[in-house]
Amino acid sequence: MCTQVGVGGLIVGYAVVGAFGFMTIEGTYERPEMEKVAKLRESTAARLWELTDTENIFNRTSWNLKASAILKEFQNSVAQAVKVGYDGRTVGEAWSFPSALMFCLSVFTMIGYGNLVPRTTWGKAMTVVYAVFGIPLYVLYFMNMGKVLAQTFKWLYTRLYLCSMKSAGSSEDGQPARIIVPSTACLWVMGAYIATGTIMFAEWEKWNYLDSTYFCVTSLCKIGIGDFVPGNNIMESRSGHQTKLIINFIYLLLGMGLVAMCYNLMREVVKVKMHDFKEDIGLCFEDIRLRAVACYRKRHTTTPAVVQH
Amino acid sequence: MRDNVTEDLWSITKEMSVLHQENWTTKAISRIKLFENDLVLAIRKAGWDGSEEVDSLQWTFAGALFYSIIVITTIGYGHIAPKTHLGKVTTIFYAIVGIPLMLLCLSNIGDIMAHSFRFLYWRICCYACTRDPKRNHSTRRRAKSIRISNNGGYSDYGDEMASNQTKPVPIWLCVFLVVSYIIGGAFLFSDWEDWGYADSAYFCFITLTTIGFGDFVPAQRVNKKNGEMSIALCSLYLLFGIALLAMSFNLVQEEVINNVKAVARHLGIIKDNTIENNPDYVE
Repeated sequence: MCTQVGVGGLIVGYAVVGAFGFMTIEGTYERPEMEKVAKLRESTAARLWELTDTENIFNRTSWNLKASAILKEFQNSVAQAVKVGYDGRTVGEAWSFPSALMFCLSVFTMIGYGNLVPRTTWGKAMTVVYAVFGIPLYVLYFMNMGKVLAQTFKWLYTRLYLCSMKSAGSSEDGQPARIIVPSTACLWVMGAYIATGTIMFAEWEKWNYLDSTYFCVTSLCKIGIGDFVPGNNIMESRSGHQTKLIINFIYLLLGMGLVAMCYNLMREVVKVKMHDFKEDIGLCFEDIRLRAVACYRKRHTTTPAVVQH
Repeated sequence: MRDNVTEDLWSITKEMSVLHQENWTTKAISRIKLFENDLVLAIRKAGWDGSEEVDSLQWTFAGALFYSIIVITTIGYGHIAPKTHLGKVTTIFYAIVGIPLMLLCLSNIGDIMAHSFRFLYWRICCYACTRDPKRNHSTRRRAKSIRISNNGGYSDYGDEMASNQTKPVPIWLCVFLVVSYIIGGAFLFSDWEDWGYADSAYFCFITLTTIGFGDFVPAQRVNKKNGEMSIALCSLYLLFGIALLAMSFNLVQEEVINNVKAVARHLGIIKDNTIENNPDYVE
């Protein structure tokens, strides 16, 4: 039990250390895009001023047309900048401690949201190194957590099962010692966890329930598409609601543990089922073979008789 | 939205009847900044991608195939994401069904590739250093049985080191294989996509570990002609690479896990003294 706690602590510690490391690496870097966009903004304003200056007679429609053309140009260049990675936040805002923690989590759990990515060469190299060491650690955590949770869950389930059997009155002492947890129970637990997450995120982030479910499923499946990320809302992160990110961190780590548990429990059931299925198929084939042989033999024995007749 | 901005600018111009350049410019800049924030929001949130017309490559057959591969391999770049409700629901169910299927497929392929690779390695090893593979195998089995018989405490740590040397395929070879695969991919993509070598290697690594940030995605440039070709190439590279990873993981699985466990145990002991007496859990 202690080693499991140790591994959990290790992974949290690793994430915290990584968060500080990435903050120091990436936080000092000023993005060129910021200056570029600021310059762009100024130049657009200057051009608009020029336009106003030249169009001395205030002809509204022509002014509108020209201004809208200039603005469209501006819009296109902003879109280009966004594609390169500009997102309206300064580096200090982007790499705050909770988001750096989130970034570390998304690296070693292989989720990879991609809302926050390293821009410097050093940051990229460090990400690679960090992942190389972090992923095996995470896998270890996944396995340990799965084992512990599966044992606990099995114990709980056995207790409940026995209790319900006793309360029902049918006290069979000849209970089989080994009770396999049915896969539906795992699915119920998983569903409940996802539903909790859905409600939580829907309340906090003002997403609708479908989006929230979508976020929870894609996160727990380690896909991490990254079109929804909690705390990514630009206005919100400016006003500073960053405890959510930490709670999200905990939610995800626990969720991964639960997935591991389900994997552990389901594996047994699936193995048993696969074995049964294989036997079934084997029996089926055997049956077909016997039948075919019998049929063939019958025909073989009957046809000469017919000929003799 | 742009029309709104024009209106606002017009009203600013109107209300400052005395045209003073400094004042006007500061006001206009603040309004433009608002406009820019709106734009960023629109691009980030609503998924509008800057071009006024619908992008051609996003949901063609090739793009959609790429998307489904990215979902079931759990990479999830996020450069394409479903926008409609139905699309999201379908993605959820597609992932729930597809990911276990993919895992199953990968473990099978990894098994087969590991077997063939081990066989190949034995053959080469036979020629190279005239080692008898059968003896090798039997010693490994013996070492394994010893390891199973006494698990707990520190004694199995030494056994681990002993069994390390008798394992048929060494770790370094697998690591070398994966690293060379990544470097090869880096050359390929830097040639194909005009990225720098460091960026390409970073992309390959992030992709093969199925992290998938999505800051570099192949075939995303607007003026790309043979985008579909590039997508197909990337998918092939990706699927084969993941199979390769599964293979090498299959080969070195036990040793790596045991090593990591040992390291973790060491660190745990450093952290907390109470663990020292607890032997590691037996599975």
